[in-house]
Parts: sequence; C-alpha cells; structure tokens
Amino acid sequence: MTIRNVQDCGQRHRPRVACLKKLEALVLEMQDPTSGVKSQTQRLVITTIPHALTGEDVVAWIAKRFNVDAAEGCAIGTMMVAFGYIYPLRDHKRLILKPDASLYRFQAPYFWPAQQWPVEDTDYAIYLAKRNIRKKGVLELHEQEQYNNLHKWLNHKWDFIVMQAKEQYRAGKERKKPDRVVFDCQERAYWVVHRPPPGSVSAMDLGLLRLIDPNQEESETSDYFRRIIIFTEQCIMRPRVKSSVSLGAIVKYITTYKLHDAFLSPVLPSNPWLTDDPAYWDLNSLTIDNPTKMRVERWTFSFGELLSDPRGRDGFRLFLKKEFSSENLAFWEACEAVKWGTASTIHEKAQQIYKTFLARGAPRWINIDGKTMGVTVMGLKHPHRFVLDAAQTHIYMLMKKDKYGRYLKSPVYMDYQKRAIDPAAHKFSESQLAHNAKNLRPSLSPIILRQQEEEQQAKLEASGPVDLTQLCQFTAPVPHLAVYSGFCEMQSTASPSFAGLPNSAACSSPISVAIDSTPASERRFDGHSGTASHFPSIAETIETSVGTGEEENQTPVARPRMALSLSRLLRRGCNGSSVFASLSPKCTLVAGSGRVQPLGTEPQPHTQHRRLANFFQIKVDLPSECRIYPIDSEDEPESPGSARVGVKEIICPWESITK
Amino acid sequence: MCDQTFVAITFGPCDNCTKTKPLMNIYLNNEAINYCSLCVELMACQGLEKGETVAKLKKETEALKVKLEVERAKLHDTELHKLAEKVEAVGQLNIKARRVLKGHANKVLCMDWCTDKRRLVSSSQDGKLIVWDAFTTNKEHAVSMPSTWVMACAYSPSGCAVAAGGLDNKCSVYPLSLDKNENLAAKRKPVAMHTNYVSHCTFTNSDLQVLTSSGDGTCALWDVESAQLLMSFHSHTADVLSLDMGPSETSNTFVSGGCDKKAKLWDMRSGQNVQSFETHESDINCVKFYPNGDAFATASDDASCRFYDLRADREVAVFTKDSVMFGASSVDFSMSGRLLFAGYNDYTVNIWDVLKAERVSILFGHENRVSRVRVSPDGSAFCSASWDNTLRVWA
Repeated sequence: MTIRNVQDCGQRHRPRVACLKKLEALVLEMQDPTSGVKSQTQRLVITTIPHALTGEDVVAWIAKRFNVDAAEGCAIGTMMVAFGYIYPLRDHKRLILKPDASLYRFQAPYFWPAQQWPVEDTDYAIYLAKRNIRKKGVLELHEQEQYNNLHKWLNHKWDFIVMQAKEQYRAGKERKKPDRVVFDCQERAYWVVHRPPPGSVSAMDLGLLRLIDPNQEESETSDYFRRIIIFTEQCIMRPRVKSSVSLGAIVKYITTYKLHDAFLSPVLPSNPWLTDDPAYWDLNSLTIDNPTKMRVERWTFSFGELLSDPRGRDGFRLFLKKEFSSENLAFWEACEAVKWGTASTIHEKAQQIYKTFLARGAPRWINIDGKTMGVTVMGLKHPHRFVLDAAQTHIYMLMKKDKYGRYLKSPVYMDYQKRAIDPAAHKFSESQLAHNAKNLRPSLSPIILRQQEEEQQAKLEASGPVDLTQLCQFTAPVPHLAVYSGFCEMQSTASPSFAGLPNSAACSSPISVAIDSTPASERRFDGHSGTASHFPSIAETIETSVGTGEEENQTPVARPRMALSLSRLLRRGCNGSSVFASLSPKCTLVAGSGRVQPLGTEPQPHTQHRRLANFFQIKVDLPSECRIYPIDSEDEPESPGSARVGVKEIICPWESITK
Repeated sequence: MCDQTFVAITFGPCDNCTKTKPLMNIYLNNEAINYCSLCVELMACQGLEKGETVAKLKKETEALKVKLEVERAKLHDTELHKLAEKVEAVGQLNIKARRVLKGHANKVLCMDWCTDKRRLVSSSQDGKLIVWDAFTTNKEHAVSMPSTWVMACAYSPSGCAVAAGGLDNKCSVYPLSLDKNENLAAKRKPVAMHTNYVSHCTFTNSDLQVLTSSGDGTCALWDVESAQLLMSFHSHTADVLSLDMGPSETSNTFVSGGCDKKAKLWDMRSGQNVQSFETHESDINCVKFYPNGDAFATASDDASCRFYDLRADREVAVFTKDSVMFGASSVDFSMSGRLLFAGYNDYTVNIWDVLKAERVSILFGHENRVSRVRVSPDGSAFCSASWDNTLRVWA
C-alpha cells in the first residue's frame, strides 16, 4: 500500500513543472562523452574518483549550448544544482553553481526529482538512521530534530526502519570505496534537495498546491459539451477585424508612446528612481496648475487619455462650457459614478441623473436619440449598474467624435500647450547624487492628498455654484466670486471692462447686497425676458473677459477679506441652512413655505455647475427627494420657456405624483 | 476598448422566459438570441434528447471548434513581427535594482503600486501585509492577516485603502490611516467570500468595488460597503489564478486565466465569457492587459508568455527561448507596451520586446522565485516581489 503524501513533488506535478523535462534532456546532453562537459578526476586522500566537473566548465558549456552570456549560463547551472541534477562535492548544503574550479558531479537518474515515487518520510528516516549509525550518533542539529520527530511519527515501524538502515549500512561497506563515496554523496545530495536544511532555498518548494490535479481527465458529460457548443457558436459569430488592422494599431500605439516610456526614452527632468530626486513626480502631480509638455501632449493621443487625467478633464470641461454642452461630460461622469459606485446608492443616483439629464426639460437635458432614451428610461425603473450604458456610450462617442477634435484646436487647449512647462534635464554630479540618495524625502500621504482634494471640492461647492471656479483654477488664483452673486444683472449688462475686474468689491458688504437686491432667481428671469433668449449669462461674460484679459488675471490677486468671510460663512451654512434664511429675508417673501437650499449638500457634485444667479436656491414646496434647480438659458438652449416650467417639479415616470 | 463591445444590449427581456434580466448574447444555429444566464444554464443542462449521445455531442463540439479556427484564419493576413520590421530595435537597456525592500519574514507573494507612483503594498506567506514608501524604503503600515499565504493584495485607486486575501478564502479591505501605530487589523472589513483560496484581487475604477478571482474557479465582483456579491463569473473549469481589469475607463471587460490553461475575456455587464484562448500548455499564472486594452499577455507554467489580440481574436506572439526553461509567474507591460517584463521561477526577470518577440534583457538579483512583477503607474520603474522575502524596484 502506498500512502500518498500530499506534499509530494512526484509525478503528480510533472505537467506543471515544465522545466523538468527540459532539464533532463539537457543533463543527458551534458553527459555525452564527446560533446558533453569535460570531466575531471576528484582526488580524495589516496583514491581518485573520475567523472567530476568543475563549475567553470559547466557554465561555459551551458553558455555555448544556448548562446548566452556567462551570467545566464551560471543561472541555469544554479537551477540544475538546485533541482539536484548536478550536486556539489564541497559545500554540499549550498545548492548553487560557482563559476570557478570547485567540483560537481552528475546525479544518478535514480535520484532525479519527479520520479515515479513520491518523497517518503520512511525513506528519509532510513537515511537518517543510517547516517546516525555511521556518524555514531552525531547528526547535525536540524537532522537530529528531524530524526527525533520521525521517531515519534513513525514509531509503529521504527524497528523496520532501523533494520533497513543497518542492512543498507552493511551493504555499503561491502562496496569499493569510490563507489561507496559516490553513492553516499548522491544520497546526501538527494536529501539536501528534498529535505533542505532550514533557512535555505528549496527548488522543490512548489508553493501552494492548486486544487485541480493536472493529470485528471475532464469529465465528459452532455452539459460539458453543450456549454462548449453554446460558447463556440457565439465565438464563431463574433465580429473580428483583420490582423493587419488590429496589429497595425498596436504598432502605432507603441510608436506614439515611445517617448513617454521611461524605459525607452529619457524622463525629464530625471527619473526619480535613478537620481533620487522626486522633481519629476512633483511636476506631474495630479493637481498641479501647469502640466508638463509631455502630459499635455498625451491628451492628444486619445480621448480616453484626456478623460483619465483630471487636469485634462478640467480643460475639456471648460471648453464644453464655452460650447454650451458641459452637460455631456457631467452626464458621462455621473454614469461612471453609478457604474463604479456603491450599490446602495444606485437608486438614488439613477433618479438624480434622470432628473438632471434625461427628463423632458431637465436642467441639463442631454441630447440623445429617442431609442436610446427610451431604453434608458425603461431601464431606470429597476436601476442597475449598467442601466445607463447605452446612453453613456452614445454621449461618449458624441464627445469623442465631435467635441474632442475641436477641443484640440480650441484656445483652451492651445493655452494649455502654451503654458506647459518643459523641464530641463537634471545634470547631477556624483556628489549631488550621493546627497540625494542620503536625503530621500517622504511624500505626503495619499490620504492627506485625498482630504485636501475633498476640502477643495467642498470649497468649490461652497464658494459658488459657478463654472467660473473651474475657469479660475485654470487661469488664475480664485477671485472669490461669491461677492458678485448679488448683482449679476448689473454685470451682465455692464461693459466688458467692468467684468474684467472681477475682484474689485463694488459693494460694501455681500450680505447687504443679498438683502437689498431682489432674490437671484426672480431677477434673472427679469433679465432674460428683457434680452434675447440666448443672452449670455454672467458666467459667460466673465469667462470671455478672462480669456481676453489674461495678463491681468495671471497675477495673483489677494482676496477681499469680505469674500473670505463670506465663504467661511457659506461653508458653515452647509450645516445650518437657517443662516441663509435669516440673511435673505426676501426669500421668504417670494415663497412663504420655501426655504433656502444650502449649497454644498447636493449629492451630485456634477449638478453644481450652475449660473451665478442660482446663488441662493429658492425652493418652492418641493419634497426633498425631487430637488430640481432653477434653469438658466445656457443649459437650456432648446426652449427658454421650459426653464420656467422646470422650476416646478419633475416627476420620474415611474413615480406616483403623490409621492 | 474596441467600439464593438458597445453594440450589445445587455439588459432587457429574455427571449426565453421574457423576464427582464441581464442578458447574454448567444447564438443558436447562427441566429442571435438574448437569453438570461439562467435560461442559458438550463439549456446547457437539459438531458440528452432522443437519438443524441455524448459521443455525438463531442463530435459536434470538435466540428464547431474547427469551424471557429477557420473563421479566425480568414482574417489572419499578417504577423506582428512582419509589421514590426520597420520599427527600430530596442536599444541597450540599463536597468538595475534601485531599491531593495526587506522586511517580510517569508515569501512575498503579491504586490501592488499606489497611484502616487512611490508607495506599494506587499503580502507574504507569513500572513503579513506591508505598506511601503518604496522611494524611501520605509514601512508605513504592517498588518497581520488572519491566515497565512496572502496571495492577493491591491492598493485602492485613491490610495486610502488596501485589499488583501488568500487562504482565508476572503478578500478584506483595510482602510489606511495616518497614524502609523494604529492597529489596522482591527479595521479589517471582509468583503469577498469564496469557497476556496483567493488568488488575485483588484479594485475596479473606484474604491467601492473589488474584483476577485479564486481557486474555486470563479471570479466575482463585490460591493465594498455592503460586502455583497454584485456579480459572479463562471466558466473556468479549474482554479482561476489571475485577472486584470481593462485599462480604459470605457471598458467593461476584464480578463482572467487559470489552471484550465484558458485565458478568458469577460463582459462585466452581462457576466458573460465572450472570448477564450486555449493555446497554453500549462496553468496560466498571470494575465495582463496591453495598455490600450485591445490585447493582453499571459504568463504560464509552460515557460512561455503569450500575446493575444482581442480584436483579431487570436494569439499574435509567443515569447519563448531555448534558455528560458522555467515557468513564468507574472507579466507586465512598460508604459508604451513595447517591453514585456516577465518574472520566472528560475529567479530571473526576462524583458521581451513585444513587437519582435525577442528577449532584450535578463535581470538577476533575486535568490528565489519571482512571484510578481508590476510596473509603476507612471511607468518609471517596475517592482518585483520574490520568494526570497524581498521586493526590488528596478529602473
């Protein structure tokens, strides 16, 4: 009876250890009398034993055989020693091949790994017992330990083991000395490979066993074949492209990115891993204001590349804003948030998206064809992660095919290109390099960066629901816009020069402005009724003026203290909306039961990009789950009239009105 | 990702049971039908019809496979190395180990980079998880896992959490904190539950979902917050050893490989296995997407790495060499996809030129098997984890 040891490294694993077959073939080749490795003789005190090899000969032979350099030859040789095909005659416990004159010998095929039998504890016990007899009880420490353990475990057949050991010892003594020495060495080498001394590396260690036995035949049942049939039929119908096309794309990709591959082209200013100077990372941090030339260039490679870079996305967003189609990107981002977001919020997010982007007359209605819209709206009854996939794809392709190309020619992108920094290559001297290596600076933890990012986000949301914040990030330090929110009417009709001085606080106190002027939403509609339906709102006015008056805006401007205090107030306001209610008494006049919607508490960050005029959102008897924002002309190019309708309430088609 | 993946309707009424469910796009006798996964499963498991035998089914299977190869061959008009003839060769690479991270007390089994390009997380056989600042070689956190053999670990995209799993059959998420002395083990949040060891895990495009592969032959997508199973992916017939998410934001696909010698491409929307490649002769230890998402590479115990093109639907390159005799454990691409770094069981890392399928360099240094090779997010370096208890950063 054979008891299969689970940890055996025998035949069972052979299919997985592909190297064994190759190594065995190689060993046979090496032993070829004519073309093999030259053998030496080993001298022991008075006897000489033939067929020993020197390390350097083995390495040279392997290097010649495979046409590789000596270092690789040595590595291959070391693996052969580690697997026990060749064993060292001296320093027998270190299974490496030294490329010098130290001697090695080929192991007998009987002792090769992965023979028909597994490595048994019983055999090891016999070996140790034999050794114990020969060394008269003086075993090495780990051997002694193993011996004692085996004695305990194999107590039931210990008599047999001892008898076997004695028998083998006696038989060994009868052999000629060279034979005996060789056999002892072979046996010892075998056990060094299979029962390595603690702390040494063992090539026999295959790691965790996999569940499936590679020798096992797959069961052949009807469902096994049916599954394959179903799958293969599907594979046959799968659309393919010509190899030349798809491979051409890969070749093109490689040539396009060649200069961006740190292993193929020099990194500017220098690769931090080589010079220990993290300037490269600092210049390429996600939140840096002026991206490098290389980074800006990458945005032209593909639309995906542009979207995957936060800075790139900012610029694109700004461009879309100018094109009055920022809702596309916002919608795409919202869809991503559904897809990769937490499962519990999908329902909520889907509704939010419906109300913001999909419903008729929604504030940021996206332009998709009726069929896709139908499928999507149907799906939203039971929202799942990919419910918006069709619509998202549609919008993505729209942006990719149309907007992306024009973005790359737009002034926004040109400006990025113009301002992009092109760092000069570092030229460190030896001493500077040594200095760098000694002074490795730790970096900010990603957790802190994340916190900062969130704070920034919160600040943006609090400072004004305006696209201008993006713009300011992009061109100049943020002049606090909250200040102007009170008199957007004036600005929109004022001369561009007035708008070009965004941080001259014209009013004495923002709070008083808020109180004195009529509530934003009211005034806004007044303004629009008096002008063309496409009258550019204040945001656009300022945007364009900033575009023209760049010089002025690039100089950092100190924020008016008033604005700061207001922003602080606003942030506090996120927690208690009553502050606003009391500050703007007119709100209550407009809508008796309405309350001021504190900013920054909106679950959808993408819906934040609204006009200045929405600074105080007046809510008219809306249940909190059907929040909808007043609409302004830019986001609603189709019908300015529907904007006013939108203020009322949008009910999702699957919701009852009473809800 | 190729545009064709967008066409399929993935949610709607099933053609068979008419219930609205995620749909699999399959073909019966060359006719497209949309069945839900349950109906497909029922169809597969129905008993033998009259006059039908297993042998007959087997014959049909083989005939279909031949047909598939014929279809594939129709559009096979050129080879990668022919196209690459005009491209200039890769110059001399001067890659050296720039950092050696010592601190694990046993085999390092897995590692993953943080998006900040300098931090990384590694897991080891002794059940320890270590977060390093590889640049300064400082350890930032050390976590003890409930079991040994932590075979999978991943850094979240925000850099605020790590996930790890192994022999405990679970994949747990640990939120990181700024306080280095805090006991992170107490903040362990088990997310994924498999019926066998977890072989690989990765976050999807956010911190909120984890994708795992397991020895039980499945891959699964999990919601981190609620620890609920969002979707499972069945089709492998043996241990799944590795998976990789599509690199592009628009892709809804991932690829997996395992002990059944198959590499499979999955559609995450329907949970359907859409492509399968079966040219390896032994277990596939690692799969890795090409940077543009249209191809992927595999590393296998048969001592070869292979390169598959998804759009052409076939193997386009094999990376083998006479002198490379040992199994490959892990692969990753350089930024441009020109170089393929592959870790091997003979303690070396080989660097292959993807276009010409030639080896351009070999790196020595590790004293035991290389278990994982990962290129840093900006492509400025790559890290190798090894059974010799160390990690090395090469540049």
